[in-house]
Amino acid sequence: MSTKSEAQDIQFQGLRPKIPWYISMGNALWRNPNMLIGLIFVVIVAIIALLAPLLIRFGVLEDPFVFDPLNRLLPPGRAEDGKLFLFGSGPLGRDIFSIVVYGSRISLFVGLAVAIIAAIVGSFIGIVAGYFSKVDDIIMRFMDGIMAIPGILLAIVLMAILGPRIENVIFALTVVDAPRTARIVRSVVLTIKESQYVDAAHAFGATKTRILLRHIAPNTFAPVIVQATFLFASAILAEASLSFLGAGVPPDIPTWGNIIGEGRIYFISNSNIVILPSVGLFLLALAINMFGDGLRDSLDPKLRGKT
Amino acid sequence: MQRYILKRLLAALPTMAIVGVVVFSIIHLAPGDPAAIMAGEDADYEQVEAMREAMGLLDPIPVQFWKFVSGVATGDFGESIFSGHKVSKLILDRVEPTLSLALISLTISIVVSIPAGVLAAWKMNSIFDRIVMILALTGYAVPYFALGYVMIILFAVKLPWFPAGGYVYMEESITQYLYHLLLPSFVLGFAGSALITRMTRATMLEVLKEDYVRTARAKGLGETIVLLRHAFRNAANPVITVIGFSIAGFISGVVITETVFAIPGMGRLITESIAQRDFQIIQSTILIVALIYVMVNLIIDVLYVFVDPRIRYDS
Repeated sequence: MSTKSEAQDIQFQGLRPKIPWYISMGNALWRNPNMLIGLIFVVIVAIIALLAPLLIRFGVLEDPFVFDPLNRLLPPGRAEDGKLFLFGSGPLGRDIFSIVVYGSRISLFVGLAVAIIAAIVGSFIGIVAGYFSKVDDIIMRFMDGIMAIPGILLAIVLMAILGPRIENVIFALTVVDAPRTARIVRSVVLTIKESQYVDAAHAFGATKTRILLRHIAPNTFAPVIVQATFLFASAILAEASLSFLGAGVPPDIPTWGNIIGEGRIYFISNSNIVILPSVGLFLLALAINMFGDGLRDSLDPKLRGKT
Repeated sequence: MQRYILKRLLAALPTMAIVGVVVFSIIHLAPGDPAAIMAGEDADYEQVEAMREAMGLLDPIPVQFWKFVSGVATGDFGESIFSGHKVSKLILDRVEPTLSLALISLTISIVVSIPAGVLAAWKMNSIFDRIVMILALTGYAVPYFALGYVMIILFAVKLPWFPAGGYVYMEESITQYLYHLLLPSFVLGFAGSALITRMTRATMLEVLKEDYVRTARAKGLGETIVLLRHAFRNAANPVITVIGFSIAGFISGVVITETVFAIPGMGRLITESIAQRDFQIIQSTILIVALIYVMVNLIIDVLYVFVDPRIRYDS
């Protein structure tokens, strides 16, 4: 480390070769058909979800907010008055197909919001804990405490206290998921902190802030993105579970979890109310996980095949 | 070894203290007023105040917290705000169904997923491997309640092989007990298997590439011995870690599975208590569940030593 260029060489050893992200992403998608299928499915669902209000306005879909007491609990097919119930109708006469389409908006929104907020909050906590060893113990013990409470229980308690609103669902699930992200980020930071290029940057006289922002934070990006994809899927499932248990978004909002909860007592006579929205839930979570698996394999080869 | 266990037990104390503080504080920030609920809709202000005093809610928050902590330390969780019964008894009544469901489904998923993961890694890219991986991917994405209802419709309604729900206590009839738990345990076990299978397969794939596996094969050992004695023993630690993590998932799953199959366990107790805003039960149950989780993870850390003799905590 006598000359400047040598030190720079050492510093650059830790960096990846500069391939634009869209090219490496394209390569990964090409090599991994599962990932491509997952992405295509999620994109299609997202487009339909965005267009749902238009579809309702132009009469392609029934309005999922409207109750139709004459057409309660119908099996899939056409009702006597000629209305088409593709997936049947619920206990309040709402069209289940419309709820499945419209409900994807809430599922995607909650899932995406939880994934993004938990990733940002978790990364921040993880970086601080990993880099500043003085506060590490305190922060991580606190995170351990939160993680020792099973996620769904913590979320139910928070929901019971905060009340049934979409923002509260997002908040409750973020509280559950952020500590797990923090733990992952912290372990990455602990490894990078000891690496040669951080030593080199330090020897150069780089400030702590610069080392954090330029050298450590960018390297936590890949694992966080991967984690966020899995959080996206698990938050969608958790949102539905909360609504199913009656502790989620307000019951009048048409969501997958709500309609499944509504159909719970009719599931032997009208299994379509429970099963068909669940299939939607399952396929969406599966597609996101398939994409996430591929993303992890391409961004973080060390973790290939693991959880 | 004893010193290590003692050290870990002491280290678990701050974690449990934090759980206690977290649970106590979120519950006491609750906007709902349990005294008003308990006193009934027609109660006037004085009756609500009297109820509040009887329930100890007029004490300053630190005093309430101290009562809660000292109660827990002596095993006294107080009385249910709603029914007046001892919380410890209410919880004890619910422990058997929850613990049975969690343990049987954990056993099912370990017994199924470890061999599946080992074989999938052994025959990588075979049809068996593909099927196992697809099932594991499915297990990640399937909602517990949906799988539960599908199972009830298929195996309790269409084919009346199993009961659609309910619970029979072990002391009443052990066969009926197992018979009622089989379907819910399968549902919970299937979802839990996904993580364990994938971890087993991934670590086995790594270990099977090692030189000592090649040596074992070269000296003519049978595949079974190579797989189990040489490869799996070395792959076991990450698998045990993942089993520890998945315990939290099992407990979360139990809450939902109990609702689907109408099993009177701790999960149902919590969801019922939340509807009634019964703080005493909520905070005590969550504290106990968290304690179980922390203890299980301690046991797992101790298990490492038996699986991997290279680990010595005393040194």
